[in-house]
Amino acid sequence: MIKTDILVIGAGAVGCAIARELTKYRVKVLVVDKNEDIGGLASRSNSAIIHTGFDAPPGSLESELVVAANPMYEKLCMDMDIPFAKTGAILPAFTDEQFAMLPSIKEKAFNNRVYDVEYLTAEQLLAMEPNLSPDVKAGLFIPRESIIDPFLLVVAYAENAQTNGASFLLSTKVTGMKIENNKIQSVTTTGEEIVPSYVINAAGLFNDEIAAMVNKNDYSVNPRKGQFYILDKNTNCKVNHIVLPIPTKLTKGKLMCPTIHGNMLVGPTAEDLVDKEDTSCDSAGLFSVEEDVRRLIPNVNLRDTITQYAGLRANRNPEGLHVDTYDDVKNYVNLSGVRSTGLTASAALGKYVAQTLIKIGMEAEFNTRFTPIRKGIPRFNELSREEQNELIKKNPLYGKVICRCETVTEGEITDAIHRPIPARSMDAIKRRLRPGAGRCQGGFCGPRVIDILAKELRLSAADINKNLSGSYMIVGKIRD
Amino acid sequence: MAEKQITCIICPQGCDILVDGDGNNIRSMAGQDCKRGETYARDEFIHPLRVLTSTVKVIGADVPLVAVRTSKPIPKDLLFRGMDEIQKVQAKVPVKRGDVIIPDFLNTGADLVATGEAC
Amino acid sequence: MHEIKCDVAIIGGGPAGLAAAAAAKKHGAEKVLIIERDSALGGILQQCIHPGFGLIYYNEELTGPEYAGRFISEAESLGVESILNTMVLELLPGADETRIICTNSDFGITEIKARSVILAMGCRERTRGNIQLPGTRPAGVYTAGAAQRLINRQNAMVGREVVILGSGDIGMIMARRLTLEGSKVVAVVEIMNFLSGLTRNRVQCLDDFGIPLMLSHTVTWITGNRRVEGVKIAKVDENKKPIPETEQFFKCDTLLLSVGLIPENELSCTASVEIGPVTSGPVVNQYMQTSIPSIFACGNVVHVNDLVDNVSVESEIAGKEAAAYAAGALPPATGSVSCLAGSNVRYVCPQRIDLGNEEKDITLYFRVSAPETKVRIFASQDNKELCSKKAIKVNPGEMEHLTIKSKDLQPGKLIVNISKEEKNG
Repeated sequence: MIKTDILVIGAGAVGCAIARELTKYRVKVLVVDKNEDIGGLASRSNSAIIHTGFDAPPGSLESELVVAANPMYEKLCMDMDIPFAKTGAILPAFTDEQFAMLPSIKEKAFNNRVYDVEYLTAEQLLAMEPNLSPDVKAGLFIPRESIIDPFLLVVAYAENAQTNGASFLLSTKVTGMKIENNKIQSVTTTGEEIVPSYVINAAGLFNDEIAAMVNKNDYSVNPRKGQFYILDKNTNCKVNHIVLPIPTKLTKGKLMCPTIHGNMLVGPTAEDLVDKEDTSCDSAGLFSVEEDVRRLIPNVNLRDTITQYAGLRANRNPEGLHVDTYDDVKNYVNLSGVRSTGLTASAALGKYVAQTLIKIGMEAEFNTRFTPIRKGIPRFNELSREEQNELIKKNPLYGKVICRCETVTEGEITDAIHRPIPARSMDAIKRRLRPGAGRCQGGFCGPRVIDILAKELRLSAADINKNLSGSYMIVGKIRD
Repeated sequence: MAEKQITCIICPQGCDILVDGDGNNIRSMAGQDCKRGETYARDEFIHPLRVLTSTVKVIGADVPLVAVRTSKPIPKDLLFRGMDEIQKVQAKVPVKRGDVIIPDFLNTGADLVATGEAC
Repeated sequence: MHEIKCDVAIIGGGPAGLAAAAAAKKHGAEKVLIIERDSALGGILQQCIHPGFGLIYYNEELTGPEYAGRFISEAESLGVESILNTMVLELLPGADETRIICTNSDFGITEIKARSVILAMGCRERTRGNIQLPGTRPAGVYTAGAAQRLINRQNAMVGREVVILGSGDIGMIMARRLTLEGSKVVAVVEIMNFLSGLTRNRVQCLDDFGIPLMLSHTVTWITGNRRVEGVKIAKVDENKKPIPETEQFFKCDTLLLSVGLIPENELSCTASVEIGPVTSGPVVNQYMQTSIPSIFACGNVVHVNDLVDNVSVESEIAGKEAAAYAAGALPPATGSVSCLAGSNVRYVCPQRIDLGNEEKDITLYFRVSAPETKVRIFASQDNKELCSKKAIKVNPGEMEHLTIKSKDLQPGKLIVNISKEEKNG
């Protein structure tokens, strides 16, 4: 049995942001997640954009949170040593219909308190984005739309939370909750039973299933799949800003933007699903992405795709972002309807949920030992030659490049394996450091990373997984 | 045994040669374009030979395996028996290229020799 | 910063780099240095334990490690030096010398100054992303070369029931290797209606073991959430589009991809070396000299070869000429000839012939676009035929070549054509 003050269910962006925020108070925080690594599902497979909230439903909680969160990221990313770039977004209008929509989009932004949206002429747009379709008539500029590495954000939240005292319990699925006297008394899991004072449901795609454990059945989560394509850093048709289509009903539509690591990202599709585990990619998705993005950027070259992925947005039915508390389950906070803007909202949601907990009785004594500073693994490729040389002298493994596409050294990989929240799978290493995320997709480094993981974790190669248990890379030895 | 189709690999033309016969006895051959093709097809029909290459475990080295081959081609139908032998044997460091790992491999007159090195 | 000076620096200690290094030394370069990222020389040949190497160059059948071993011994006996476990980070060409910035655990960041440089980094494999293979994203999808490394060098078996997509040589060789090690190779699937590797490999790697070869088929879907559980395979139409009603499920735990190789030129690009659009490798002249005069290139970094024997020959030219350049003995050209691909030819390498230096035979290497039988291969300038030969069969999987005399050439264009031989001569 594990006792804790706060139990956060779900180690995605929102769960980890909440955990970090709560470590500012003198409370014991425990985060559980069914996956083998932090990072969640939707949190790591999305468009990697920090939104401004310009097109959120005005007056909604989503608008409030996203608009509040956007200005936090510059400092947050600096404090937590992760990359962030304020590229800005453009919204080009190509048809008369789209042109006519510009004032209403600008007005909606205004109603969302996003005052810095500006009109752009066709000439200005083409000067900013030479690869934009020459049919562009005019458009809007949203200066604070930004890009980030979504997975590193979660890692940074989690590691900083842990430095400040939070604990993480991974590969542990919540299976039930015992309620007595209108309070959750204990939480059963596939591992140990947990006895928390407060429970926060930040289970993303599966938050309806957790809610059902406390008899809250008034909504469901319907996965909405988005397929994305990552293009080679060397692709010849690039953009400098986030290029958004004029929004349609279903989603924000298919966009093209640079990633924080210099690739091009195109997508996503928007496909309503039933299966919460269906993250497959299909040819139809590719065609539709290509077709739609071509309208914005005619020369986009999807033949330069190095990888594709699909994320599932946790769409709530009925819609709307909710942070709910209940009279009949007094020590419980339920988050639902956190969808594609959830990554952005996370920084504000952490604070919102902390205040909610205080409102329902959590004692809020400031933890004076809290530090907002988190130092990441030194990134060899981002250092000057002198700094690289110093690093190699301190740890010779930093002199050995394992991933040639992204220039990742053995030193960085062994560091990641031995961090407080260790990277123990191929994907965990890839998401933190990017070996295998480059153009050869692990063809060169993959076998080497298996070896390093096995050596550092003192496991056999057959015990190394791609991600979850059962996703084994190797079936055994050739010679015993 | 009857008919067997053999693709000739002597030249890029890659003739498909149809050989009819039993054991060492060839009744007819069709499709070959040259004398060398005929010899190849005859050899392939009567006693096809292959060089077997694999790896053996090596003890005490910085690498787990060392590459090996048969010093000359061995009968094709011995390949899997050869693999069984290879699975059983272990080499000890240092292994030099050309070192004999198993002499007279499966009584074929060929040796199993190291093609790689380990130290 | 650790510094090394040399006459000729060679990036990559595989077959191309080794042959180039030995040749540079033989042709008078004093200090020749190979920069190799692995812990041993030999490159990809270390994991190519199968036979089939050296049939042309040595007139005997060697395995990869043996073929590499001969070149390593020769290079060492000639006094070629090497720096292992070293990755080149940047290439900075200058007026008198090129600076090569690399990293090594023992020496830290190291700067190598060379009078001439030979690029010999080889190639990489095309990936699942490159061919946009649909389906889930489980473990168990490997490129054939990565699987080959795991099996032959790391003592790690990749799977028990394997489908191989692509009939390239590595794919077929892995089919045999997996079968000999007790795994079941369900099928080798090829989207084209012809084999993409060598016929010899089809016979000895697939036919010998009864492994089905499915031409005009492709993998249309991967299933399995954690590990591969199977793939769907469909026949393709003449436009290489899958025909849905022919789709069939095949159970397997592994999918190997042998879907082509791409010259590895990230480093060449850092030095702004001109890259050819068809080969994806540096544009070179007959000396294997790139668009930057002090930088030469050879082997699969220039264009993907079928036989290592060709790589060795081509690399010896690069080594010899890089040595001449380092000694200031490569005179400027008086004119140049562009070598262009004509009918049924994908590309010609070298792409350029510089005239005016010496009278000699120049071998043009090229690949055909489509298989053909009974053809005439000829090179012409302004419709004047300079040389020709006949071939019984040409195949995209096999490199073709034609030798011309430099004295016959005029500045301008040279076109290599392949035409179906007319009946009655």
